[in-house]
Amino acid sequence: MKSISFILLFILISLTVSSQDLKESPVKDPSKVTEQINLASAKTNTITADFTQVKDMSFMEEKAISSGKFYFQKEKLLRWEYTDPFNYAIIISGDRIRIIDEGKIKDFDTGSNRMFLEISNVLTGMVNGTLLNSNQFTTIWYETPGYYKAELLPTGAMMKDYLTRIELKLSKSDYSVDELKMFEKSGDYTLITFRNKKLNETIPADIFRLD
Amino acid sequence: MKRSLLTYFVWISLVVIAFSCRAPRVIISGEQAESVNISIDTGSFEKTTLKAKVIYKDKELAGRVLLKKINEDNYRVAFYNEMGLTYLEGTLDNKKLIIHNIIPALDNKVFLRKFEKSLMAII
Repeated sequence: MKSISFILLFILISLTVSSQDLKESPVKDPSKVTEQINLASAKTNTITADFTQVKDMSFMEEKAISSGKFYFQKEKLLRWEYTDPFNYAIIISGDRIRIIDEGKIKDFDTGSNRMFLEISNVLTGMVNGTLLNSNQFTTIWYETPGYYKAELLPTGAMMKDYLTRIELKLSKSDYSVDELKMFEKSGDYTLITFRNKKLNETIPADIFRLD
Repeated sequence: MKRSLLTYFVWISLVVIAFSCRAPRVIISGEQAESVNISIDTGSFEKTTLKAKVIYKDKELAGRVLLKKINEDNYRVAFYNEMGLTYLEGTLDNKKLIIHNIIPALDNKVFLRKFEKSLMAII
């Protein structure tokens, strides 16, 4: 009887400790976190990662899952490439955007297309940290022992039409983005999880080449 | 509905290519629907993801259309982009598209009528 009580007590303590680990609390001094992120960002010239994207559609009662590869190089070179279940890539090179959809190439100029300018700014801002300082969003910070979470609430009317908030989870070890979650007005969300992250490794120039 | 957008969508082309192994291809251009190499049997799928594109002049909106059969005359439909942003969600109920959720840029009678027609050509 004593041993059963001991096991139950052990399980109870384990569950309590585990739930405390996951509990997010507000960051006391957000300026220190952003300072650390800016410092880490300044030291990061390239990022390569695999990603998995899960789009949760409550109305459809479905999840759309896709995955691919992500490349970023300072200042504004980015390749966001889906490889499964379809081949689709967005390449941002300065003010130019290329979309490769199943081999078909389309080029856009962010200077003449406001929507693509917004996309370009959000995508690159998420990885180089500038989104956290953007006046397009109000940022609220939370933390657990393992990560920081930035809750970005859009301030601009155009962005509000599409998203209610973006959540970024950043690793406390290197301040890089582990997870990105975008919430839509309908309540649907898209969760993008990054793994196999490699910082400051040389990326072949062909990855970002548009010509 | 935004009245000014009615002139925006003078013609809309919806290009749909099914992802299934049957690889159906349906091209619908404006009011004059043209079907090429249709290999989807009417009502034969329970759920399918299609590639879709809305074109107006030099602007285009591309993404995926998910169609899910609920019963004989009822389908749920979602149009969203590759990065996961939903353009619209609705129900195709007895050949009538009922919108559940839509982004303001697409909330337009002309577009929705053409989108509904395009979906009907598929199912």
